[in-house]
Amino acid sequence: MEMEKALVFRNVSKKFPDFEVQIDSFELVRGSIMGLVGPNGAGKSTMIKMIMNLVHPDSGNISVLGRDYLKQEQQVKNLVGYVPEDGRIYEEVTANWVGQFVSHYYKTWDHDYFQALLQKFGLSGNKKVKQLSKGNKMKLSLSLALAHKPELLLLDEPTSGLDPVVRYDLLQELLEVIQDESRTILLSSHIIGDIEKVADYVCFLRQGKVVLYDDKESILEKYKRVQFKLADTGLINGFKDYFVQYNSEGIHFQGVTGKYSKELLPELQRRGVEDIKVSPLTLEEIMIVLSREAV
Amino acid sequence: MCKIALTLVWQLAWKDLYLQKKKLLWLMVTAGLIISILVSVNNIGFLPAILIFVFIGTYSFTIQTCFYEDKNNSLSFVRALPVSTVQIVAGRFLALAVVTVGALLIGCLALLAFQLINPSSLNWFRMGAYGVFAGLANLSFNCLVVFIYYRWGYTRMQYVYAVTFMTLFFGGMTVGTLLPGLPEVIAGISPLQILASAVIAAIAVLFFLWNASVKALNKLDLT
Amino acid sequence: MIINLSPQNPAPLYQQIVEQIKAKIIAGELKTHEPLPSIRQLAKEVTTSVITTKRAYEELEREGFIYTRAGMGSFVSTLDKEAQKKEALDKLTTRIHSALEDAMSLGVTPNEAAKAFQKVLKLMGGK
Repeated sequence: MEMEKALVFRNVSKKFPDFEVQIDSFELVRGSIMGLVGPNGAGKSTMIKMIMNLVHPDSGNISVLGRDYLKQEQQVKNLVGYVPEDGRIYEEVTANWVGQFVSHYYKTWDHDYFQALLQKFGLSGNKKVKQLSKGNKMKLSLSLALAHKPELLLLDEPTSGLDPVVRYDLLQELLEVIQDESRTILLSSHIIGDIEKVADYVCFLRQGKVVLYDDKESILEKYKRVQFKLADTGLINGFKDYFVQYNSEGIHFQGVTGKYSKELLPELQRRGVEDIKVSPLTLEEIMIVLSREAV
Repeated sequence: MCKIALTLVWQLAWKDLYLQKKKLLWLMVTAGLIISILVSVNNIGFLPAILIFVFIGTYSFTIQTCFYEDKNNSLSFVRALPVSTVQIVAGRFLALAVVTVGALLIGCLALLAFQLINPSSLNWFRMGAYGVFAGLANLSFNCLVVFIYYRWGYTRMQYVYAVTFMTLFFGGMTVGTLLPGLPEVIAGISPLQILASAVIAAIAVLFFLWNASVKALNKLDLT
Repeated sequence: MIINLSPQNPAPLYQQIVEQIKAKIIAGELKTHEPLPSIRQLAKEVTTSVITTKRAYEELEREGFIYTRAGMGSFVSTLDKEAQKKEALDKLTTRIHSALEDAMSLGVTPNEAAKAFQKVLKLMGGK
């Protein structure tokens, strides 16, 4: 059962002097793309680094591709491709040299694929890393992570600092990776549009905790903006439970619900509201609403 | 399996050496120049000069390596590879050992050249024993610095760096007079005894530092 | 397969895919028993998530436009005329609904709307 899961977090916690990450339960099925979103400092990066055992949890278990992240650390790292947020590569050597160095550590390293990736991303293998722009460093980092054909790809803010064309190429490459149903991708991004495009699942973190976790289509279906007119302003309190955020002006009410379903409208009508209008929200709008919601 | 593990350790060490290749070369040349000037002008003994050369050479390598690793955040790059912390520390220590041996060899060559120009009778066996002793002492010291770096970070390692260099700078003038007396102090000890005690002590110290470094790395959060 | 997804379109992405594949089937662009790209392949072609294309195929299958053979993929169903007609009628109803909504918000009465509808029908000459 656990083998079908690319990632499982159980009661994982980590205290820092200034904040705390507490992930009680989190799972990621194989063959899918999960987007990790949330405001800066929500713990996205920490969560990814804990999988790589770069940051050590105080307690809890993490299972990666059915293996224990700590007891089978080497095995796990062999199967995982990690792209750190700021392209942490040796600055004084060429891209080819880094590729050569990294290739020794993976049995599955594919040199031709690495070269093909460099070419595809328009990178010259003979250029020193320090001569590369931020975006190009990210592309090199991605090429290094992809070239050993990892079963799980972890990307920490891969699209930040990239122009739209490159971002599109990168997303295409990710979709190419999951053509193989056993491969899985976890990416964090604050560019929610990218996640909205390619992610199957979305996990929203806030202040070190998972506040929303579902498949993307369900999220988009459940969260809607609802507008209506109240028969009487005194009724307003009866509707608050349905909405994560709302505002009203006299008898005009507007809110965002996280419980939208076909049954919601008749229910509202029964409570005497009229002129109900329902409009869809983008993932970005949903995230903003959730970020502002009182803790 | 063991062979693969060793190759990986060597790759880690080779990476450290390769990353510093230009600086190492530059360092060797300038240090060589400064020491020959010291020898000819200040009339400092030739053996202390070689020891100073080995010490400065390896020490600078250690500092530079840690500096760049800290600056590029590349410790997390290495930690993300499928290698254990045991291998990472072993790789770093191996690189230091290679640099130490390299510096000693250069010292030997210089000594040979000096002997050719200025022949005198030298007890080569005793010299060799001193060389191994100096090399191991030097290696242990550098590994200690690396341990401090893993355990307390680069910034705090710099304090150690500053203190040692100050000592070296102010003590530099007296070293010339102190060290030539040293062989006479330990003249009674046979070269074999020196060798044996140096090797045993160094193995103990290095093993301890290796262990402590691995523990420090295992605990280190690379944020 | 050429499918255009528009983020500006208020219809959900999977719905947009459903509509466009339906249109292709009805127009005969996709023939009966013709294989469709796999959900992963289609996701890559239109740069969208697998869950979206999966949802679209499920919807198409539910409505009888395609059928799925385990391990082989999805294929275009034999279209029955009745289903086609029902589909067209459904579409017409949604369009009239949104057109009416627009008109009525600007003060058009139901009576006037009905008249306008009759007029358009007459203009088309009972075709």
